Amino acid sequence: MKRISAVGATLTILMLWGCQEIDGECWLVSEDGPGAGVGGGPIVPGSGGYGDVPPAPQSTGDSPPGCGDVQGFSSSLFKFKTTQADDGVGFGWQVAEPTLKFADGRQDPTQYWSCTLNVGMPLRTEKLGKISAEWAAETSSEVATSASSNVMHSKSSWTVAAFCKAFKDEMNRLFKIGHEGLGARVELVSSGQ
Amino acid sequence: MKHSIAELIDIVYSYFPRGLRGDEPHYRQTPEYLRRMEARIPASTRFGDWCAMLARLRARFPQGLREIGVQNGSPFLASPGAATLDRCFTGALWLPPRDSRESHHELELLVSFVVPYFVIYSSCVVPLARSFGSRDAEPRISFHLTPDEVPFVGAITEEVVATFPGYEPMPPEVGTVIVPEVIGGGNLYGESTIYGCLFSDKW
Repeated sequence: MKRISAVGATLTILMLWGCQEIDGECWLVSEDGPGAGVGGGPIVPGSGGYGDVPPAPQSTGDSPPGCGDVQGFSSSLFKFKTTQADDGVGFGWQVAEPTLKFADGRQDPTQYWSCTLNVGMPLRTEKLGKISAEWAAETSSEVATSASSNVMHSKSSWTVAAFCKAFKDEMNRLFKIGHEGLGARVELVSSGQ
Repeated sequence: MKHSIAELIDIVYSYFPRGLRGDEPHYRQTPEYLRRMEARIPASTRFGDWCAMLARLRARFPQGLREIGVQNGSPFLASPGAATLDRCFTGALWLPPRDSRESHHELELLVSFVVPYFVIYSSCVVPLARSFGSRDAEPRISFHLTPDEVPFVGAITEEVVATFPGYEPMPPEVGTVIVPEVIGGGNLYGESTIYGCLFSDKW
């Protein structure tokens, strides 16, 4: 995999430059790798705040991972808890309130911010049956990863409030079109830098 | 309409503090926020009525539609503290797609529990002319109902009025009015509408 320099890169490449940051390192995206797809956005996944990220790069190979290797937000960020039991009538409700971190390396200096969301979905639906906390977390992390990429790349720069609002809207959109009948809802709790 | 737009905006201000974002420190101690949360208590006592209404709605339609289903979008209103979402019950009646472009078609129903109004609108998912990343389709909503939707809207309206006596539809020319100085429905300042504030965070 050939690494690129941000210097002299095209706008397209710059848009992909914001990479997963692990332990203070930011691996540059591969020019010819699969980084242009979902998950290649300026995402800073981890298990919580910056201080919670693993102490070493999450790569088993010899070379640093390109953004194309990034799997996006970890499902461990979405710790679903039941707030309303499934009584057989109402289908119950479960929520997770992750704080998701973002970095936009297209800006100089790199911009960092976070969006705290409330992601909710039923414990069961007529169409899909039982919705486990594990499935809810996996699905939410996939949706958040896609939403992050879609939103981040749709503008050259973002204000924090506008990004978090657009990110929340995009997650709701992806849940609606990709998980019909699930009834998941995403609410923006706060945004911060 | 029982209320003028000005009166509805005043009601919004009784539930949303003016000039304060939801993530500001004292937001959740404001009388407006607390009033909004308290409104969920009587709403949750009507959850059984809501579910019964959806069941009746489901039973009204032919078997083919019954397979598609009526969806309860507010399972969290079974108890007041299960979520903080919305000022309304939400539901949907799934209908067959109208053409090959539509991947989904439904009528969505919102019944407010802070004002005596409801709204029914059409929602569908259509492909984008040009995809962007994973974004290749989007939901579209419309308040202009097509002839094939009208009978279903009539049936939904009958069930709502029977379940929530005195309720009226809130037309889009009222519901889409922007409410200044508040953030409701997960929007930014200057984007929050009467619908977003008095109905759902979906908007």
